[in-house]
Amino acid sequence: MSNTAPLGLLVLSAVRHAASYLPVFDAHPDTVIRAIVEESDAPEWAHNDARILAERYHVPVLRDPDAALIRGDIDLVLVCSEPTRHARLATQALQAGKHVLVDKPMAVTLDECKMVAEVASRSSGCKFTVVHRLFGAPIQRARQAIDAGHLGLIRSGDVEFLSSGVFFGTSVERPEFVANPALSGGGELMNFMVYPVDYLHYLTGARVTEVFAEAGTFFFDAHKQFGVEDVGILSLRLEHDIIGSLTVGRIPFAPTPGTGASTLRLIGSHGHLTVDENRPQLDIWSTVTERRGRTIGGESAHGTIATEIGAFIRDICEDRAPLYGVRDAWATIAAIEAAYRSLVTGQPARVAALPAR
Amino acid sequence: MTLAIAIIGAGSIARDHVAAYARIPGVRVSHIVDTDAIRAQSLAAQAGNATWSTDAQSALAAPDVSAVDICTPSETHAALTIAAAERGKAIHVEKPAALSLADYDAMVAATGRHGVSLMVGQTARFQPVNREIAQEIAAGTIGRLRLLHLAWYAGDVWAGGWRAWQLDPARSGGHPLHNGIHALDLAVWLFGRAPTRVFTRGFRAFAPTMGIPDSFHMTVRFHDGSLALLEIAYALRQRGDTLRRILAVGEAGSLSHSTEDDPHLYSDGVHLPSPSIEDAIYHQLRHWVATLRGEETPIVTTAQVRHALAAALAAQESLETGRAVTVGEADNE
Ligand SMILES: NC(=O)c1ccc[n+]([C@@H]2O[C@H](COP(=O)([O-])OP(=O)(O)OC[C@H]3O[C@@H](n4cnc5c(N)ncnc54)[C@H](O)[C@@H]3O)[C@@H](O)[C@H]2O)c1
Repeated sequence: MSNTAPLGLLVLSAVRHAASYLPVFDAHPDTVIRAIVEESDAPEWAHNDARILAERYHVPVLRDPDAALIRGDIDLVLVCSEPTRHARLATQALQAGKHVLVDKPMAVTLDECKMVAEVASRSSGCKFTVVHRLFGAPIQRARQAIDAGHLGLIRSGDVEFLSSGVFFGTSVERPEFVANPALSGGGELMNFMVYPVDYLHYLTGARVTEVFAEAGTFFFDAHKQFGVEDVGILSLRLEHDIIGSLTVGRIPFAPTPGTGASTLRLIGSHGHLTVDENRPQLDIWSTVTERRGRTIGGESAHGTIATEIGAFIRDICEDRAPLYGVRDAWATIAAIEAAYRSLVTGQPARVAALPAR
Repeated sequence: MTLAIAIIGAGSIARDHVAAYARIPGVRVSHIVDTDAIRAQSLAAQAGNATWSTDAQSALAAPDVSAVDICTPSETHAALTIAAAERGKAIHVEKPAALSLADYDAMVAATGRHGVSLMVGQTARFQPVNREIAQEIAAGTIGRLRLLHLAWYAGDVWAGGWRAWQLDPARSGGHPLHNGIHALDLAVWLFGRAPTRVFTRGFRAFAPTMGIPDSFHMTVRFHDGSLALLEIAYALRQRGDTLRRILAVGEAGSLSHSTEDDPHLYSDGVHLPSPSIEDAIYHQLRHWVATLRGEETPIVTTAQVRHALAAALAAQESLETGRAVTVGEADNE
C-alpha cells in the first residue's frame, strides 16, 4: 500500500452505486482504477454488474478478493456491495492493509460496527471512511454559520429526507437492495436514516441518545413484498438536551424537481436557519424539457460524492484524518438500530453507547 | 333577520372575534360577559354598545340571543357550554373544547339533548393554505393520504401573550392540548381517521424552569398505520418571525407549502401574517354563522374534535411520562 499518487483502486463488489462513484475516480488525476473484483460465490448478476463496469473502464474483472487484495498495485479499495456485505468486505480490505472507502451504511448491525472499528483501530496506517453527504455546500454553509455562533445554543433540529419514487427505477439498481433485508439489512430507515442523523451530529456536535420511531409500508410493491418500511417519522433526544425530529424514506413524489428532497431546520437560542439541499433553485418552465427546476450549484448528492472522494484521496496523500470515520458511522448506525428496536416495542429506545476509545 | 350573539369571555381571543363579527353581514354582538367588569365593559364598547355583564346567566337568559360564543379559559368551557345548551342557544366554543373526554362527551350530550348545534373553534382548518390542501386531498390529487409533516415555528414565545392559566397544565391541559390541538385537529381532519398512538418530546427555549415546554413535537399514528409528525415551536429568536411548512404525502403524490415562499412585507417592527394563514378567525366565524343559517354544512364535526382531543390528552401524558401513549388511555377523568 502506498500513500503517493497515483493510488491504485480496487473495486470490491460493484453492485450498488459503483456506476456513479467510478466516474469520479476515473477523472481524478491521483487515482487509477486497476480492477473490479466480485466474490466467487456471489450470484451471477453481481458478476455481471462487475463485468459491465470493468468493460466500461477497460479493467480486468476478478473473482478472488484475497488474491486481488494482496496485489502491490492496489492502495485503495472501494466497497460497493449490497449493504449486508459492507462490513465484512471493508474489514477484509483493512486487514489487507488497504485504504478503504465503503458505501453507506458502513454496517447493518452493531456487532458489525464493532468488528470494523476494531480492525480499523489496528490498521493505523490505513485511512478509512464511509460515503456521507456532509461535504454538500448547504451543509457546509450551515456548519459555518453555527461555528460562527450565529445560532447561539442549538435547541432543536428537524430533517426531512425523502427520496422520490418516480426515480426508484433509475436511482436504485435493484429494488431488493433497499427492500430485501437479506441484502439491505432493513427498509428505508436503514437505507436513508444515516444522512439526517449524520447531519444533526455534524451540525450540533451532539450524538443521538434516544429514539422513538414510527414507520409504515405505504407506497411500493418491493417494500410490501419484503415487509419493510418505505417511510418513517422519528423523535430524537440528543446530548445536551437538544431534540430532533426526522421524516425519512421513499415516497411517490418528494417535494422537489430533483431526485430527492433534503431539508433541515435548526432552532438556536439566538437564531434559526433552514437548509434545502436543492435550493437555491432556478425554476424552469418549458415546452422543451420536463425538468422544472435546477439546483444552483448542482444537486447536492452528486457534487458531494465527488468532493468526498477528492478529500479522501487528499487525506491519504497528506496523512490527514478523514472528516467522517468509523466511530461516526457506528454512532449513526447505533441510532438506526435503536429506531428498529423502538418499532418493535412501540416505545422510545436508548441508543447503545459506543465503548470508550 | 339579524343574528344576535352573546360572547362569554372578553379576553384576547374575544377581541379578535368581535373584529371578525363586524365583517359578517347580518350579525350583531348583543352581549359581552366577563367575570372582570372592566374587560366586559371595554369590549362591549368596541362591539358597538353591546350589553355587558359579569354574569353569564343574564346573557344566556336573554330571549333575543340565539347564539353563544364561548371565549373563556378552557377549564370553563364545559360548564358554560352545557349552561348555554340548556337555554337552547347555538354554541361556538373556542379550542380546546374541554380538558377531558368526559367533559367533552357531556357537552356533546347536552347540546344533543337540547337540540342545539355545537361548533368547536378549530382555527387551523380555516387558514387558507390548509383549507386548500384539504380540497386537493378531497379531490384525489395525491391519492390516499399516508404521511403528514407540519412544522409551525413562531417567534412569539406564546401566541397572544402568556397568561398564568395557560402555563398551568391543570387549567390549560398543557401545551400539547392548548396549542397542539390545532395541529392534531388539522391532522385528524386531513386524514379523516382516528389517531391510535402519540409520542411527544418538548423543550424549553426561553425559561428552563417553567412547568411546560414552549416547544414540542408529536408523532401520531392513525388506525390504518398512517403517520403524522407535528412540530410546534415558539422558540424563534425574533418576535414576529414565522416559519410554517406542511408536507402531505399520498399514494399518488404530495402537496407542500412553506411560508418561506409567501410574499412578505419587510418593514422595521411590523410583521404581518402570511397570506397563506391570515384571517382564519374571520373564516371560522363566518362559517359558523353560515351553518346556523343553513347555508353551509358544518366542517368541524364533533366526532373529529373528539379524536383530536383524545390524541392531545395522550400527547400531554407522553410529555409527562416520556412514553408513547395509546390514544384513549390518557383520559384521567
Ligand atoms: N382559536 C384560536 O386560535 C385561539 C387563540 C387564542 C385563544 N384561544 C382559546 O380561547 C380561550 C380564551 O383564551 P384567551 O387567550 O382569550 O384567554 P384570556 O385569558 O385572554 O381571556 C379569557 C377571559 O375570560 C374571562 N373569564 C374567565 N372565566 C370566566 C367565566 N367563568 N365567565 C366569564 N368570563 C370568564 C377572563 O376574565 C378573561 O378576560 C381559550 O380556550 C383559548 O384556548 C383560541
